[in-house]
Amino acid sequence: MTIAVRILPGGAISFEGVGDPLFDTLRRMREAVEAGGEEVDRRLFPDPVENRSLEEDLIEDWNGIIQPDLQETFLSAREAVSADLRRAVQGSDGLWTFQIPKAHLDGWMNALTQARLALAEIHQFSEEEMSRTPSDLAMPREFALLQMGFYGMLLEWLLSVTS
Amino acid sequence: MTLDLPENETREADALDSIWSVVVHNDPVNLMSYVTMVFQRVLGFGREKAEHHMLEVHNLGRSVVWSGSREKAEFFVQQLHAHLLLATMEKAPQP
Repeated sequence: MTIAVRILPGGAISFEGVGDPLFDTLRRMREAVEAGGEEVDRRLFPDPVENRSLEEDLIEDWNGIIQPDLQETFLSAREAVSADLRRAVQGSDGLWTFQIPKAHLDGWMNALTQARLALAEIHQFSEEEMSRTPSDLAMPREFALLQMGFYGMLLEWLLSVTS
Repeated sequence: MTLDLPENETREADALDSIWSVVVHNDPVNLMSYVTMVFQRVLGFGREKAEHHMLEVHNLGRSVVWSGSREKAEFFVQQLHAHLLLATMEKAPQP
Protein backbone atom coordinates (compact mmCIF):
# COMPACT_ATOMS: atom_id res chain seq x y z
CA MET A 1 0.00 0.00 0.00
CA THR A 2 1.35 3.41 -0.96
CA ILE A 3 0.03 6.60 0.54
CA ALA A 4 0.36 9.58 -1.80
CA VAL A 5 1.00 12.83 0.04
CA ARG A 6 0.91 16.09 -1.89
CA ILE A 7 1.19 19.72 -0.94
CA LEU A 8 -1.51 21.48 -2.93
CA PRO A 9 -1.39 25.03 -4.28
CA GLY A 10 -2.41 27.19 -1.32
CA GLY A 11 -0.62 24.98 1.17
CA ALA A 12 -3.20 22.31 1.99
CA ILE A 13 -1.85 18.77 2.33
CA SER A 14 -3.58 15.92 0.58
CA PHE A 15 -3.34 12.28 1.67
CA GLU A 16 -4.51 9.63 -0.78
CA GLY A 17 -4.63 5.88 -0.40
CA VAL A 18 -4.92 5.66 3.38
CA GLY A 19 -6.04 2.20 4.50
CA ASP A 20 -8.69 1.55 7.12
CA PRO A 21 -6.29 0.69 9.98
CA LEU A 22 -4.33 3.94 9.65
CA PHE A 23 -7.45 6.00 9.08
CA ASP A 24 -9.01 4.46 12.17
CA THR A 25 -5.86 5.31 14.14
CA LEU A 26 -6.25 8.95 13.07
CA ARG A 27 -9.89 8.93 14.11
CA ARG A 28 -8.89 7.69 17.53
CA MET A 29 -6.62 10.69 18.16
CA ARG A 30 -9.44 12.63 19.81
CA GLU A 31 -10.63 9.72 21.91
CA ALA A 32 -7.13 9.27 23.34
CA VAL A 33 -7.31 12.71 24.92
CA GLU A 34 -10.97 12.86 25.83
CA ALA A 35 -11.03 9.43 27.48
CA GLY A 36 -8.20 10.47 29.75
CA GLY A 37 -8.77 11.27 33.39
CA GLU A 38 -7.11 13.40 36.01
CA GLU A 39 -3.61 12.29 35.11
CA VAL A 40 -4.09 13.49 31.52
CA ASP A 41 -5.53 16.80 32.75
CA ARG A 42 -2.56 17.25 35.06
CA ARG A 43 -0.21 16.89 32.10
CA LEU A 44 -2.21 19.04 29.68
CA PHE A 45 -2.76 21.76 32.28
CA PRO A 46 0.40 21.92 34.38
CA ASP A 47 0.92 24.48 37.13
CA PRO A 48 2.73 27.67 36.11
CA VAL A 49 5.06 27.42 39.13
CA GLU A 50 6.87 24.48 40.69
CA ASN A 51 5.92 25.32 44.27
CA ARG A 52 2.17 25.93 44.46
CA SER A 53 2.23 27.08 48.08
CA LEU A 54 4.49 30.06 47.26
CA GLU A 55 2.17 31.47 44.61
CA GLU A 56 -1.38 30.64 45.66
CA ASP A 57 -2.86 33.78 44.08
CA LEU A 58 -1.17 33.04 40.78
CA ILE A 59 -2.45 29.44 40.82
CA GLU A 60 -5.98 30.66 41.54
CA ASP A 61 -5.87 33.16 38.67
CA TRP A 62 -4.30 30.57 36.39
CA ASN A 63 -7.00 27.99 37.07
CA GLY A 64 -9.78 30.55 36.71
CA ILE A 65 -8.60 32.48 33.67
CA ILE A 66 -5.79 30.80 31.76
CA GLN A 67 -6.90 27.17 32.04
CA PRO A 68 -10.30 27.74 30.37
CA ASP A 69 -8.45 29.47 27.51
CA LEU A 70 -6.13 26.50 27.16
CA GLN A 71 -9.10 24.10 27.23
CA GLU A 72 -10.64 26.08 24.39
CA THR A 73 -7.39 26.05 22.39
CA PHE A 74 -6.98 22.29 22.77
CA LEU A 75 -10.63 21.54 21.98
CA SER A 76 -10.50 23.74 18.91
CA ALA A 77 -7.41 21.83 17.66
CA ARG A 78 -9.16 18.47 18.14
CA GLU A 79 -12.25 19.77 16.37
CA ALA A 80 -10.17 20.90 13.37
CA VAL A 81 -8.83 17.35 13.05
CA SER A 82 -12.29 15.81 13.43
CA ALA A 83 -13.71 18.14 10.78
CA ASP A 84 -10.98 17.22 8.27
CA LEU A 85 -11.49 13.50 8.90
CA ARG A 86 -15.27 13.85 8.55
CA ARG A 87 -14.68 15.29 5.08
CA ALA A 88 -12.56 12.29 4.09
CA VAL A 89 -13.77 10.25 1.13
CA GLN A 90 -13.52 6.48 0.87
CA GLY A 91 -12.85 5.23 -2.64
CA SER A 92 -14.24 2.08 -4.25
CA ASP A 93 -10.93 0.38 -3.34
CA GLY A 94 -11.71 1.05 0.33
CA LEU A 95 -8.86 3.55 0.69
CA TRP A 96 -9.37 7.01 2.16
CA THR A 97 -8.48 10.44 0.80
CA PHE A 98 -8.45 13.51 2.99
CA GLN A 99 -6.92 16.97 3.15
CA ILE A 100 -5.47 19.12 5.88
CA PRO A 101 -6.14 22.77 4.98
CA LYS A 102 -3.21 25.11 5.66
CA ALA A 103 -5.25 26.88 8.35
CA HIS A 104 -5.64 23.57 10.22
CA LEU A 105 -1.95 22.56 10.26
CA ASP A 106 -1.28 24.09 13.67
CA GLY A 107 -4.42 22.42 15.00
CA TRP A 108 -3.23 19.04 13.73
CA MET A 109 0.21 19.46 15.32
CA ASN A 110 -1.41 20.50 18.59
CA ALA A 111 -3.91 17.62 18.56
CA LEU A 112 -1.22 15.07 17.67
CA THR A 113 0.87 16.32 20.58
CA GLN A 114 -2.13 16.22 22.94
CA ALA A 115 -2.82 12.62 21.94
CA ARG A 116 0.81 11.54 22.41
CA LEU A 117 0.98 13.14 25.85
CA ALA A 118 -2.36 11.65 26.88
CA LEU A 119 -1.41 8.14 25.76
CA ALA A 120 1.94 8.37 27.56
CA GLU A 121 0.14 9.39 30.77
CA ILE A 122 -2.63 6.82 30.52
CA HIS A 123 -0.25 3.93 29.82
CA GLN A 124 2.70 5.28 31.80
CA PHE A 125 5.20 4.61 29.03
CA SER A 126 8.83 4.98 29.98
CA GLU A 127 11.22 6.75 27.61
CA GLU A 128 12.76 3.38 26.71
CA GLU A 129 9.37 1.83 25.94
CA MET A 130 8.48 4.67 23.63
CA SER A 131 11.28 3.67 21.30
CA ARG A 132 10.40 -0.03 21.05
CA THR A 133 8.23 -1.66 18.39
CA PRO A 134 4.74 -2.61 19.58
CA SER A 135 4.00 -6.34 19.55
CA ASP A 136 0.47 -7.69 19.98
CA LEU A 137 -1.81 -4.91 18.71
CA ALA A 138 -4.86 -6.59 20.23
CA MET A 139 -3.50 -5.42 23.59
CA PRO A 140 -4.65 -1.83 24.33
CA ARG A 141 -1.25 -0.83 25.69
CA GLU A 142 0.57 -2.10 22.60
CA PHE A 143 -1.94 -0.42 20.31
CA ALA A 144 -1.38 2.82 22.26
CA LEU A 145 2.33 2.48 21.59
CA LEU A 146 1.60 2.11 17.88
CA GLN A 147 -0.64 5.19 18.03
CA MET A 148 2.11 7.22 19.70
CA GLY A 149 4.65 6.18 17.08
CA PHE A 150 2.31 6.90 14.18
CA TYR A 151 1.25 10.28 15.58
CA GLY A 152 4.91 11.12 16.17
CA MET A 153 5.84 10.26 12.58
CA LEU A 154 2.99 12.35 11.20
CA LEU A 155 3.89 15.25 13.50
CA GLU A 156 7.53 15.07 12.44
CA TRP A 157 6.45 15.15 8.82
CA LEU A 158 4.09 18.10 9.31
CA LEU A 159 6.89 19.96 11.09
CA SER A 160 9.21 19.33 8.17
CA VAL A 161 6.76 20.74 5.63
CA THR A 162 5.79 23.76 7.71
CA SER A 163 9.30 24.87 8.65
CA MET B 1 19.77 63.89 50.55
CA THR B 2 19.41 61.47 53.40
CA LEU B 3 15.66 61.36 52.80
CA ASP B 4 16.18 60.18 49.21
CA LEU B 5 18.26 57.18 50.16
CA PRO B 6 15.54 54.79 51.44
CA GLU B 7 13.38 55.53 48.41
CA ASN B 8 16.22 54.63 46.05
CA GLU B 9 16.88 51.43 47.94
CA THR B 10 13.20 50.47 47.79
CA ARG B 11 13.06 51.10 44.09
CA GLU B 12 16.12 48.90 43.56
CA ALA B 13 14.62 46.11 45.66
CA ASP B 14 11.35 46.28 43.73
CA ALA B 15 13.22 46.10 40.45
CA LEU B 16 15.05 42.97 41.57
CA ASP B 17 11.84 41.40 42.87
CA SER B 18 10.17 41.93 39.54
CA ILE B 19 12.62 39.77 37.58
CA TRP B 20 11.12 36.40 36.74
CA SER B 21 12.51 33.53 34.72
CA VAL B 22 10.60 31.23 32.39
CA VAL B 23 11.86 27.67 32.71
CA VAL B 24 11.10 24.82 30.32
CA HIS B 25 11.35 21.32 31.79
CA ASN B 26 12.26 18.07 30.09
CA ASP B 27 9.46 15.93 28.76
CA PRO B 28 10.32 12.60 27.14
CA VAL B 29 7.18 12.64 24.97
CA ASN B 30 7.49 15.89 23.07
CA LEU B 31 9.59 15.61 19.92
CA MET B 32 12.85 17.54 19.84
CA SER B 33 11.91 19.09 16.51
CA TYR B 34 8.55 20.16 17.95
CA VAL B 35 10.15 21.81 20.99
CA THR B 36 12.57 23.66 18.69
CA MET B 37 9.68 24.91 16.57
CA VAL B 38 7.77 26.11 19.66
CA PHE B 39 10.80 28.04 20.94
CA GLN B 40 11.13 29.73 17.57
CA ARG B 41 7.46 30.61 17.41
CA VAL B 42 6.70 31.60 20.98
CA LEU B 43 9.99 33.17 22.03
CA GLY B 44 11.13 34.41 18.64
CA PHE B 45 14.40 32.49 18.80
CA GLY B 46 16.46 31.82 15.70
CA ARG B 47 16.91 28.17 14.83
CA GLU B 48 20.36 27.88 16.41
CA LYS B 49 19.29 29.44 19.72
CA ALA B 50 16.10 27.37 19.77
CA GLU B 51 18.10 24.17 19.26
CA HIS B 52 20.57 25.20 21.96
CA HIS B 53 17.77 25.60 24.52
CA MET B 54 16.01 22.44 23.33
CA LEU B 55 19.24 20.46 23.89
CA GLU B 56 19.70 22.10 27.29
CA VAL B 57 16.21 20.94 28.27
CA HIS B 58 16.93 17.47 26.91
CA ASN B 59 20.37 17.06 28.50
CA LEU B 60 20.04 19.02 31.74
CA GLY B 61 16.32 18.62 32.41
CA ARG B 62 15.55 22.35 32.29
CA SER B 63 16.45 25.53 30.52
CA VAL B 64 15.82 29.15 31.43
CA VAL B 65 14.47 30.52 28.17
CA TRP B 66 13.55 34.06 29.17
CA SER B 67 13.81 36.52 32.06
CA GLY B 68 12.00 39.77 32.68
CA SER B 69 8.77 41.16 34.09
CA ARG B 70 6.26 38.93 35.83
CA GLU B 71 3.47 39.89 33.45
CA LYS B 72 5.45 38.90 30.38
CA ALA B 73 6.70 35.73 32.05
CA GLU B 74 3.05 34.73 32.65
CA PHE B 75 2.31 35.40 29.00
CA PHE B 76 5.20 33.21 27.79
CA VAL B 77 4.31 30.38 30.18
CA GLN B 78 0.72 30.50 28.93
CA GLN B 79 1.91 30.35 25.32
CA LEU B 80 4.28 27.47 26.06
CA HIS B 81 1.46 25.60 27.82
CA ALA B 82 -0.77 26.24 24.82
CA HIS B 83 1.87 24.36 22.81
CA LEU B 84 1.91 21.65 25.49
CA LEU B 85 5.42 22.23 26.80
CA LEU B 86 6.12 21.87 30.51
CA ALA B 87 6.98 25.42 31.53
CA THR B 88 7.04 27.25 34.83
CA MET B 89 7.99 30.70 36.01
CA GLU B 90 10.17 31.46 39.00
CA LYS B 91 11.74 34.48 40.61
CA ALA B 92 15.20 34.94 39.17
CA PRO B 93 17.91 34.57 41.81
CA GLN B 94 18.99 37.91 43.23
CA PRO B 95 22.69 38.73 43.21
